[in-house]
Amino acid sequence: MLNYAIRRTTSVAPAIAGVVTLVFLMLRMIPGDPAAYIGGEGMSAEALEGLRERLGLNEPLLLQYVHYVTDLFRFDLGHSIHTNLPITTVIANAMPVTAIVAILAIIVGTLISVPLGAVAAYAKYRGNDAADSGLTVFAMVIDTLPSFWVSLLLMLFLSLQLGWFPISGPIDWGDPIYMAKRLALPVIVLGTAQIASVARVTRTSVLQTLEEDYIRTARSLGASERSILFRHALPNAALPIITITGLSVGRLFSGTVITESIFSLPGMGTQLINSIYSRDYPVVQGLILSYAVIFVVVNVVTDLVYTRVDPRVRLS
Amino acid sequence: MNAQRIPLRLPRLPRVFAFATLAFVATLVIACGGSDEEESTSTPEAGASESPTAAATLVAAGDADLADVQEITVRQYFEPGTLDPAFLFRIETENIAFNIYSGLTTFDPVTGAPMPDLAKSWDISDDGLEYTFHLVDNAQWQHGYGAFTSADVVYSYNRVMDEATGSPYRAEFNNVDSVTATDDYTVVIKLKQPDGNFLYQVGNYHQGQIVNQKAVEDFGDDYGRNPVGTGPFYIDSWTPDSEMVLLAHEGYFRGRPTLDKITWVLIRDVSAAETAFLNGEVDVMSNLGQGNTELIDRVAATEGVQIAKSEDYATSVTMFGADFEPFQSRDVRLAYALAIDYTSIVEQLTPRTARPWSSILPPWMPVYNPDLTPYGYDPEQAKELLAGAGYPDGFTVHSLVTGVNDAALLEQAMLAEVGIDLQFDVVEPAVFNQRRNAGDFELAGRLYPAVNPDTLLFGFLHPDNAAPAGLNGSKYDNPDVTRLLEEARASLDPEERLAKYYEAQQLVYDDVAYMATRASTNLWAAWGPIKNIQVNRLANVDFYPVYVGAGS
Repeated sequence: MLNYAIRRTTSVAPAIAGVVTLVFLMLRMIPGDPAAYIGGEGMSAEALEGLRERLGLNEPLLLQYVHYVTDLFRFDLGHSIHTNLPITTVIANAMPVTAIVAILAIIVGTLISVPLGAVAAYAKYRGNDAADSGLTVFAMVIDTLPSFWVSLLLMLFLSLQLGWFPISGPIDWGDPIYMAKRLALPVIVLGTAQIASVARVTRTSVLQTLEEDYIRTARSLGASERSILFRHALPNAALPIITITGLSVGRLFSGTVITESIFSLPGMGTQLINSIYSRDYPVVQGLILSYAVIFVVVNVVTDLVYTRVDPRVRLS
Repeated sequence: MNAQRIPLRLPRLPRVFAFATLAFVATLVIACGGSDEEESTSTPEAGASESPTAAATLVAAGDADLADVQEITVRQYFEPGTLDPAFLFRIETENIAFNIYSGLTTFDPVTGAPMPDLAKSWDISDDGLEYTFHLVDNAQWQHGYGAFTSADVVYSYNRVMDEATGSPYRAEFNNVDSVTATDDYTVVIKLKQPDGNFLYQVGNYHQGQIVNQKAVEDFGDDYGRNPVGTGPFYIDSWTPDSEMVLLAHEGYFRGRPTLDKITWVLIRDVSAAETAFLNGEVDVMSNLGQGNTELIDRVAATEGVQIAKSEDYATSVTMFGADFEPFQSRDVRLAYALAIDYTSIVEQLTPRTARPWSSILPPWMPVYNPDLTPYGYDPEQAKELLAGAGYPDGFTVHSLVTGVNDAALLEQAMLAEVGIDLQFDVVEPAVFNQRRNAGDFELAGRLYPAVNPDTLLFGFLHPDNAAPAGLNGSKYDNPDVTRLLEEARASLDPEERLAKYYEAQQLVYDDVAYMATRASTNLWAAWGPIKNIQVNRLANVDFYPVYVGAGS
């Protein structure tokens, strides 16, 4: 399995190299000059030229690229143009916030959507179409709610009316109770955004499984309905659910970009938005690279989880 | 003989004095509930900038009035950039810098007039060329960088003037011949030509802010994130994209500030900021509503909230592209102005945050010419002017913007009535800044806060500042205006100066060189116990006099 993980990781190296090159080029192709942004209002043309010189923006594109890639091999992602902080520090500060919010959101989303989908499938299987449609419609409605709108609504009721959760404030891991409150709303928003897709796949997959012969066998052997659904059907329907959960990590990350800025969380999404605005090339490059690496890791992990869940799957 | 000797006046209330003083004079800029339209603070009278009077409008605190905890949280709306005075810009960054640095002078929050800061007094030679600044002898640098002396002033200003530094504010000192220290607490600045507004140039703003040589050299490229000043607060911690903590500077030369701690939290989303404020997570809200009238009304109507504002602090100006053919004609520019009913647009859409305006100088500036009135709304005359200028069927013009708001859509509709097709060229801020500064546009807007009238007049009107060199985006070049401005600046007679300023403004108005559309108001909100939040003419708040009152 270790072999597989290593081989899998090396096989995506070209993909990552592609991402790195593409982002490098795209950033420099879009109009907007970081020096003009940093230099501000009344900067003279000559001063601007000096600033571009200092920032290394005057070098030919190819040379900039060569520098960037050689530094990359030394694990040197460079410094932010805007704050002069090392990119590794920027990412190290932002990553934990995003990671914890994302992981909790996946857990919350899965805990809601998998039972939801399973129950809907069971209802359909038992011929209760009304309950099935009800749950499916519920999932669809949740799916169509824009996350920024849900964020504002939750803020209004849970934060402003009831005063349960703060929506601003520092990140302080030393105070877990405060952090739980601080992160609760973004986790709920992102978690609910997961519900529809995962519930839909769970429903289809469980429904298929319920029609398998061994379910009939289990029932004829006197297994309870609850045990049939959750012990016999659901585990065997798990593969597509794991796949969709793995895939939804992508959607989750795009969701964090909006949610983090609304809840003023200094995570990767907030950093990405701010650095695109200020044309902070090195930060954008570093963040996109991290996203790419996270995707690859999540994919490999998803594959490895397959083998645990279903012994029939062999990785070679 | 004629040298002005300006006595030391205390512009603010240090703690010690506060106990002795009962109440303090003046108009409260803080209007409770924001329901009453208060009187305009502008008094355009001749020579007001000559006598530095403290028009501070603060309430003194007795011992018993202070809450036990002197800590506040302030909403920051955008991540501050570098805090190196040679480079820093944008209001949210300037506000931090204003509280951690000092200049030789500072400026009155209401009138904008220069007042003593690190220079407790100054003498100006008869020919107006030599300024002798007498410095305070008890100022200390933050973070243990020792005592402040005249050498720091010499270093700071020479650093800005040094081409190698690459400061965008170098041109602000173009008129400075030399900066020398005659003893530890005296600095002499010699000018090449007289400048009646020179005291603004050494204020607590951008190039006027004084840095410590050792700190600048110690931190090198990281100085912008590790600033060391002599102001009332110092930076204790700065977490990017999250928060910045300022603590009271014990060695501040006017005495330690009353507040112990100011935490600036970054909340970029306007709605989230409103909720956080109403929730009590934030005590003070900077840049309230950002033009959202409904939000402002909602917050202002909340019990216990005070609204502080700097009325009409800056003018919004429409710049006509220098290379756009139709705008070469003065009649076309006038037709453009006459085609849009700015008065209605501003009064209907942004009654709380702007008023219709017609000068590139904001109304509170003493040298603003009060004879200028809006061009008016006259679509029929606009059509005639267009026909006369050879555009009977109008033309298409692209406006460079970062977003399209209701006001822009109304302008578009009104221009369509006279045949002008207004298209929006929507770009991101980074592109907007680049193209606007380069003069690469057909139409673009600009709002530029300033306290020195010359910053705006020379910036917008002098050919030396034509884009891309400076603010003059329309590349306006009228030799009469240029001469009048230069003469006004060099004049030592206040009345003569004012007359020349008035004349220059009239010429620019007649030329329709730029079209001023509105004067904007900057609003802050604070919960009742937070006293003395006063928004100055650069939309900044000086936190030195601020304190948390006992009770509500």
